[in-house]
Amino acid sequence: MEFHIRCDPKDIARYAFVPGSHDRAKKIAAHFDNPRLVSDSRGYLVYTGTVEGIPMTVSSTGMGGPTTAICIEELGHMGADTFIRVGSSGTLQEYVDCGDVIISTGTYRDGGTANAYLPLEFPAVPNFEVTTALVQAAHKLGLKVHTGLGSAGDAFYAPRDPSKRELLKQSGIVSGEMESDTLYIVAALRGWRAGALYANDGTSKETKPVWGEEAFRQGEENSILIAIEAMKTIALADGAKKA
Amino acid sequence: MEFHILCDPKDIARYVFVPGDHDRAKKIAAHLDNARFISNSRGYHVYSGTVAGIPMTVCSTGMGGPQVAIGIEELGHMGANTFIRVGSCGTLQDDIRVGDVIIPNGVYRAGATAIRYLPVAFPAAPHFSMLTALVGAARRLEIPVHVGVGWAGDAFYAEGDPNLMVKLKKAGVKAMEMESDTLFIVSNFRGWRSGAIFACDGNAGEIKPEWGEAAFRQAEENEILIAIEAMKQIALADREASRAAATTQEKA
Repeated sequence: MEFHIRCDPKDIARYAFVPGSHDRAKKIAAHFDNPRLVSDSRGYLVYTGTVEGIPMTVSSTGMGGPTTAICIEELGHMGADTFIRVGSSGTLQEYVDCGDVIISTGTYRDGGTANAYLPLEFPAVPNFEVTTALVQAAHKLGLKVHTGLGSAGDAFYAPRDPSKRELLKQSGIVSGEMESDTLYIVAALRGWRAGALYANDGTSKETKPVWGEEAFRQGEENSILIAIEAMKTIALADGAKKA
Repeated sequence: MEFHILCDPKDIARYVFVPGDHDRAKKIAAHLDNARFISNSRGYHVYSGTVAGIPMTVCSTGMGGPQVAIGIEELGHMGANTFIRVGSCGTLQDDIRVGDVIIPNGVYRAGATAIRYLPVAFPAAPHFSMLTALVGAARRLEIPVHVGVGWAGDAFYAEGDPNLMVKLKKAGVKAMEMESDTLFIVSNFRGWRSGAIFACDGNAGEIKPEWGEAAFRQAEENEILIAIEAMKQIALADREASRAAATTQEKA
């Protein structure tokens, strides 16, 4: 038995969604056929079910690098090797609105956890196959998305350096969140596939404005639909056996 | 006039191929229509011509970050904003052979030049539209490619850290070369688009073996074909987008 995610390894699928939020884990599970609660310990709310007969798991990671690294390591020990983070993010760019969906193509490594795995010089980038599947899924569903680089860091409330913010904005950083740097680097070292997309919950000026809540929730639902469609495509390309 | 690439800015196209090797610049130029020699100073061999009627430029960068940065900065001053590096590389992976073609989706930043632009935490990644255009072009031409993370550093002959190399091999690093970190970071900083493709000239255990020369040269030709097809598709998509924008403006 793993130290933190407490379940039978047989209950973990190869294909895992890893949202930060526990509530979003529940929402993703609601899209599975026959979802069942597999584990609920240390903040890892884990459900497993099927999508068109293909076994899939969802586990909340909680917020930040340390809890994300433990989550995917333990899921990996139990047989998962393909991860899609279905997250929320803020944005640095004026052209991005509340409720927009952003597919990540790489992440600025502002977090510390991944440094224990690979030096800072190693690029935090998603697996190309996963990213392509996400972009194509959005296209197929007729949902508009942005693609671009993001930044992921550890300290939501720490003082922000305005000149660094300006530098990253000018250099094309679209999103800001707290987990994808760790996800990509741990997955790279372990030889797993990982990708990420975010429902944007702010604007370049405002963090999580109350007026944007409804649009964000629609974006969240859209990001879940895209992620599930993409994972299905990846699984079928792998020749996944239906349950 | 720029300090190092000495030519009339009118002779530089928006779309530029940036191989390291001067000879490869000539080979790429041979695929352009009406290619003409533009400039040869400080190691920057520059040719311009057209592909499907679209103006394109080739400029050799020479080896390493400092020359790459100066090269693309000056090309950018003269109107270029879309770059494909058509390079050569070695490999860390046992399943990659001399003569394989590799398209990087990110690069380990072992070079120092790009640190003058953006902190090392910034991911050295190609623009996603360039990456997908390159992979799409390879599929269309039915040339097999590897897509994965690469490594780019400054010192070809320096002793590497063997423990780090073992780790990077495990982490899936496919290509080893000396320029794409700088290309990707300077491009992001300037708001330009860039991508890269490499012909592999070694194996995991061998650097540029002589017996692999013929296979490498075939791969070099293949990567040139892929790069030109990808650049053409990018340029056509740009043309379509600007037409659509013009139509919208007319209606408004």
